Amino acid sequence: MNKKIYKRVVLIFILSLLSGLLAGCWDQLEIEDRALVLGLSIDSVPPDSKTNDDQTTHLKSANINLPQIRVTAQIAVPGRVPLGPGSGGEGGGGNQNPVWVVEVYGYTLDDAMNNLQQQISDPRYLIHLRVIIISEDIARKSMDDLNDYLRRNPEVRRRTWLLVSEGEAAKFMNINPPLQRVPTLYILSTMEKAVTSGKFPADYIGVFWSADSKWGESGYLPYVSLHQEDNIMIKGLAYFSGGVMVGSTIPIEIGAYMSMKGINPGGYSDLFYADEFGPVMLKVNDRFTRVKVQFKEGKPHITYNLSLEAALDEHLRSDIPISSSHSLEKIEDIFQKRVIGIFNHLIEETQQAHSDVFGMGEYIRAYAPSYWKAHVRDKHDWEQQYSNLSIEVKLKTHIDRVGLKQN
Amino acid sequence: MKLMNSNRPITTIQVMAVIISTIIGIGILSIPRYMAEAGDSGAPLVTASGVPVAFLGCWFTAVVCRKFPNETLFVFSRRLLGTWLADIFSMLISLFFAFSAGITMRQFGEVCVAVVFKKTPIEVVILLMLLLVALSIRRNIVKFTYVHVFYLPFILLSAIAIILVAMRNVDVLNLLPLTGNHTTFSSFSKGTITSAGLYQGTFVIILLVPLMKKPQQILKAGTIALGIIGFIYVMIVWVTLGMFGAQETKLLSYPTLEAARSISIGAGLLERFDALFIIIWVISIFTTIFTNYYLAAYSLQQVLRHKDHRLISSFLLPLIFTFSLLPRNIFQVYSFASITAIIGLIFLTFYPLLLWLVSLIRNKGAISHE
Repeated sequence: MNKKIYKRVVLIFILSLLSGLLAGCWDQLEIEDRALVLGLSIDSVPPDSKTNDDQTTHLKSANINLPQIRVTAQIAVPGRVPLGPGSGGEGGGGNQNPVWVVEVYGYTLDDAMNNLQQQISDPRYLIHLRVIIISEDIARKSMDDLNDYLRRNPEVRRRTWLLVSEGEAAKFMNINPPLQRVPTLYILSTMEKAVTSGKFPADYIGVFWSADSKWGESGYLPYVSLHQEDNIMIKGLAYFSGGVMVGSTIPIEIGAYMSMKGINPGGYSDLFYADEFGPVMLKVNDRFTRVKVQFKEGKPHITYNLSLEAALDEHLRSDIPISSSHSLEKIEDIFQKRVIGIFNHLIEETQQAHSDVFGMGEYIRAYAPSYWKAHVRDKHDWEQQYSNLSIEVKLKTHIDRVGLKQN
Repeated sequence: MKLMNSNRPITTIQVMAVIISTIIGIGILSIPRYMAEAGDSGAPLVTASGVPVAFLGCWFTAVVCRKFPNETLFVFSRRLLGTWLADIFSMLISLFFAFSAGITMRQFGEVCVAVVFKKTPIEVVILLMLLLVALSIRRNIVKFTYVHVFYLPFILLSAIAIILVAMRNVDVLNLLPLTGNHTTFSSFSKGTITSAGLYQGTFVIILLVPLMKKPQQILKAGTIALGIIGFIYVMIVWVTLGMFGAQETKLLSYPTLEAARSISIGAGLLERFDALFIIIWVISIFTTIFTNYYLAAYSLQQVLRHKDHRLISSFLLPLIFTFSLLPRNIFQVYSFASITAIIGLIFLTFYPLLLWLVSLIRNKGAISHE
């Protein structure tokens, strides 16, 4: 009997000790005490400008030998980020800004983030980082810093958007868009909606990294610019070669790129002069692509068979009616010739820049492994060979609808 | 006959469940990287090629255990090899599984600290998990089986869910050519061994056979279980490689986790499957350690001729904890783990083979006694 009581006392004692384990998480940190970084922008610093070195991660004598960068971070202010549309009336005050924009300098992204931490009280978190904007000159110089730090950091998601801006990237952190109260979320929704409406491929940072790692493919990123202070315009693809940006396209070429990759839904329209019918606008609704790898005289030859489903969107000259199957076929013909011109222009452009954004090398690697093994030893090899690759684009267009107006 | 069945409550399906939940564990996180290193785009093939190799060990164990359906391997090995030799081998088994449990714990801790709990000391993560397992193994084999059976659906269903969701992002081009671009015989066979090393949990059947309703079906249970796990591993390698491509997969420490992090349902409606993934992964680690620890404690008990394994399991706790703290850095963790896996593969394949051959030569077997 005595022993039983003794046993129980011991058990209760142990259990009460263990209850300490229930108190919570070792890493617990309330959300109000975190500095959640929503967006980052990275700019280069002109070599002659006098910015002082914060010396948070090194001594001045450390001889880092890297160009300085300017990082602008958009940090969410707890309690002020609107959670839904219902909170319209309350936020009248001028200083009710839901985000706090902080600018820091550093030699690498990590260095800059350390300098940032030295300035703000709360520990910074990148778990909600959704958009990173880098300026074009950073992208043209080196992406190693970004590629390494962001891949290594477990807080960063592969579904973060990495954008290349025309001109200064920091401006994007200061925009004040009417559609969303948090600027970064506005940029984010611009990109996400561009994906769902067929204006841009789902080119997250993870997709870029995968393409950048593949030997037979070069990466590309969205190329954006700021219009009228607060508007973001998707200007094209910033295409890379050897890990650095080498050029950018115009917007319609995004459509051409998406057609060649067969990415749906179709979101681009083409305005062209259709001989006797005058100016005509066709909207592409559906894209389909089949790629074939053949060999001609021992050299690879890639054939793209595209088919586009289009609808007639606009036709200005009503005196020349488009009212028969025959005239639609005629327009299809003219459209095909015109559009193949756009495709070929894009292909030539990327070939000159040694940037295989289409991943044609991957087709050769997959379907002609013996040729690949004999001729390609690394990514650089392929990017050089891509310039001389013979590529043929075949296009079939089908216009099935003309809208609510006859002729 | 009825009486006998009540002493042998474990069904064939339950044995399968134990094997599956034991084997699915730590390897799942980094297997796509090892396989991509071995075979580029041929990684799924390399993974699959490990299954037959792993099956050898399972086959030898099952066949020899089937010959002595009323005893565990520790008991009949004494009659086959002599007490001394058998006890040395049983001791080695105990040591191996204790060490394997320790290294698995360490890998578990490394992932947790790297990804989830950045400030928690790794010792705390390891010790808490180890305590949990130590408390759980103070039960008999039947309850041990039930714990596995209980957790298996969580592991299997979520693994399949993640595979299915991730499948939408697979680019088939990444998986061609099927044999890989730069595969050589040596890299391929190295990958085969690495893959085969993941399946040593099949050894757990030595505990279960004496309690099985139909011990003759042990080989069948082992084969089907290996098939299912092999399928899951191949699928995981397949989707991860299909999402990232071989070159990118080689860069990532935990490609499977990265894959779970990048998938989403319905345009961002449900993002970051890594939360779900980590939860089920913790369960699958628990079941793996559970078996390793149990085997270590049970075999040590057999060597020491002790009444039960409960006291011994408590003494093993600091030993396993020490093992888990041996590697000095993450790369040592990897090399310790791969060396353990290879030793385990060799030992757990050839020891049952040795027993089986001896039983054939000495013509011993317990089937005739029934």
